Amino acid sequence: MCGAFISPADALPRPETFTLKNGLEVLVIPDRRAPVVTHMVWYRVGAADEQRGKSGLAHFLEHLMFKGTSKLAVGEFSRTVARNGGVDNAFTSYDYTAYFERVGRDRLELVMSMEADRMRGLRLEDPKTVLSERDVITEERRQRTDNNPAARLGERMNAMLHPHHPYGTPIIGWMHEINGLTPQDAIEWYRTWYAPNNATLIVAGDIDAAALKPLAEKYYGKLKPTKDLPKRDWVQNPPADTPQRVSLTDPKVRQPSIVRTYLAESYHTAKKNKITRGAEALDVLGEILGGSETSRLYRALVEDKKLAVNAYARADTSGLGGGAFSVGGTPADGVSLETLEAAIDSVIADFIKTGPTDAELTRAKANLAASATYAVDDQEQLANIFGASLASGETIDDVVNWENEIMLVTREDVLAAAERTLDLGKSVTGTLLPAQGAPAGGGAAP
Amino acid sequence: MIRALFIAAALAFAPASALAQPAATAQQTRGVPVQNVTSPGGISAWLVSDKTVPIIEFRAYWKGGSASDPAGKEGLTGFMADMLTEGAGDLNDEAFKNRIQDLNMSLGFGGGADGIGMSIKTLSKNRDAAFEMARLALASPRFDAAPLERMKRQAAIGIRQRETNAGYIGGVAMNAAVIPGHPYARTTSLASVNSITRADMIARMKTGMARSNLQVVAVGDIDAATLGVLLDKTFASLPANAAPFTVPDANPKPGPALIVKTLPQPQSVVSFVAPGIRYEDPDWIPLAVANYILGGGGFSSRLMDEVREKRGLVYGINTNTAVSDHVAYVRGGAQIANKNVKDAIEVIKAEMKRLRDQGPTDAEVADAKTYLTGSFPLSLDSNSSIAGVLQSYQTTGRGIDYVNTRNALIERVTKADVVRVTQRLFDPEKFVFVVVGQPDGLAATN
Repeated sequence: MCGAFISPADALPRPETFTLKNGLEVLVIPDRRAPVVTHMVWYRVGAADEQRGKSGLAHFLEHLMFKGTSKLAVGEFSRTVARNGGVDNAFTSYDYTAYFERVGRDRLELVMSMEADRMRGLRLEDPKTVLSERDVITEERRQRTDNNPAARLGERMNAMLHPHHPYGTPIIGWMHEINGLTPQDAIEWYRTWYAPNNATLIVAGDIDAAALKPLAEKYYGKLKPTKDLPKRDWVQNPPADTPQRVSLTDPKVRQPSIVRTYLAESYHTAKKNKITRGAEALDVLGEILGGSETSRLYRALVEDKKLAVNAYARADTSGLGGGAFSVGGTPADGVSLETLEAAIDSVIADFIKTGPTDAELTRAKANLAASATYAVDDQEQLANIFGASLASGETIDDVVNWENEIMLVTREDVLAAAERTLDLGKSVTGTLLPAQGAPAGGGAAP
Repeated sequence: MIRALFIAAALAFAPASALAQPAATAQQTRGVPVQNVTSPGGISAWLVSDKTVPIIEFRAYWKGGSASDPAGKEGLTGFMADMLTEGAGDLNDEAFKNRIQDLNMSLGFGGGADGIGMSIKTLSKNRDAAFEMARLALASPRFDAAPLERMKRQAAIGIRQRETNAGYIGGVAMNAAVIPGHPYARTTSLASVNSITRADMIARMKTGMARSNLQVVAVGDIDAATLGVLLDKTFASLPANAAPFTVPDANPKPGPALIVKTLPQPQSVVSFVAPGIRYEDPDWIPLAVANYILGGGGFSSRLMDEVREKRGLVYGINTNTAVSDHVAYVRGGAQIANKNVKDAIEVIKAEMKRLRDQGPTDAEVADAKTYLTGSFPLSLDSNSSIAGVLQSYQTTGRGIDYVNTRNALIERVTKADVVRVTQRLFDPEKFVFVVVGQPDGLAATN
């Protein structure tokens, strides 16, 4: 039965590509089903490039990119997109900052002209506008992080997992540093990093390269590249050799939970470190260990031993500076976190001893590979996959060949990935606990 | 990589809810070729056949949901629906889920207040095997004790966790104030969930999932003849007729009212609700335009401009319309630092009053119409999004041609229409405000 469901090679389309004289890399992903395009610009700069003391600056600038140029007034960018029946937004990660518009095919030129305009022409002349946007970001931080005990625990765990590497600093920034960011900081950041030779333009949807190229030349071709683009050279963590633990107690926590995160390879670092299919194997490992209700952890802890109401594993293999692998769960009533943690460890130890079954391996690989076919249904998702992968150090070949590489992952690859990664010395274990006196599931308090 | 990509942390400029919601309507430039297919056995479906991407998206819906669960058995419809993928025929829960994974498909059932939904996503090469899984789930669900007990354990934890969930607390408080005693205001409890038996679920399924109350949408790589055969096979086991049920229409109580619930967190979650109108109401389309101007239109809305852009009080604020089978609301929400809640509520009310007293500008009406019509194709650019839009129209009684005629309805809206609906529905004194958090200067209410 197994072989019957394996996807054909190369479900993901190979984008058409060209590069402008000023260094702007362009990808075109045709999808002619609807008269719609997704237009994105990805800058190879993110939160990991911030100086110490300036946390949150990459994301702050992302917000300020909507605050006007010599041609557009404050807020006019988004209003113009909306007036033309489009939607726009932007996002910031450790590795990249991206801006996008989704519009009808007949409005593509308009958004190209505006996006090109703000690549070099941002004006931040009114400090009041800048400071008011900083207040918006402090509200965003409260909404995402400070209001949410699990997010606060995650922030602490990240800081411990990366005691020196910039991935230990939250993308949104620490509150006290957000409050110190200035308009001048933002302008300097923009001048340093925002240039055609540090960006990739991706257009997906109702267009092809022949039609796009003259438009790209017209709007982006005239922009000057930056000569002194800094190297992205991040400080590294010292070798991790000590298990770390952290507990967060909050009156809003009603049920304790545990999560452990290990440092792991990403697609980029595995290639750099010459570990063949190292990241692919981690993705497969995540599926088998805890990616579904038929995974090892879920079956053992939730179904068989009834120690947990939830158990999972997850590989994050996307970072330019490395990845992470997490396992975790929520104990059932009356089960202590110590008992649950010991049971998680025993599932991991058992897996490393016996390895995946043929059925587990086949199923996990085929499911990951099929996700490529499903992604082809969504032009925005395709644009995101190529944009994020390229900004995280992968090539177009890497992306297009991904499902073939997944299908080549062997039992030995998965075991090697598990042994290399699931090392307590390279992990942080976090527990989320109810405040003293709060009603909670029994047996949890240490 | 493809799955991991969307786990990678990235912060967006605008919250997803405030933008990217091309409101519920209009037409695609090229039109959506929806056919009405009737199977040889008499089951009808809306079909958009498109072979470009080798996948099929399939949605079914049975009218009648948890609002008609018997008193004391709150949660029955949801449990029954979830249990349909916990084993069927010769396959116990684990074998059933493994088979779903082997087919690289997804199959899900869900119980809502007004109906029960089913969705299938499959690669078209696995089509027959995928629909066979749906057939099996409908014809011979096992409702085994082990998965039922597991779901009860999970529900018990969820019931405890929701005690500190601001959204849940706010929703319960809002329902208690606005539709006290209505079935929509009921919640599950430990006792109600624990009382659910196998016999209850079998009876619920038999009375509630029939051919008479079934509606179907299919989109993607399948033709009408093939779909007809699959419809008959998949739904062969269903009884011809569902048992009648009655849920009274709710008559929501208008404000003014302010309800404050204490929850220890730095930011309050604020929601506001007033009676709304239904799809059949002649003011429904004008309301879409008015809502866009007040708070539905992302950065083009008055509330976003006043509360976020000018004052920096929120990361996001939006308004929308919410219609179920037995109640209709206009509503809005925002998350606001505790110290600013009182002021922000005053700004929201003042802006609503200003729109109501002075009306929109001609430009605002024109911009709203351009956005609502122009952005509609963006929500029709993939098989899965088309299936979602069509199902939302089908299950709310809009006709099969609605997707291709609605833009014309929006085009016809005049400023006078918008003024009329604004005066009818946007009275700040008719809104009930619910605040969950620790807002300065607002005392907790009982």
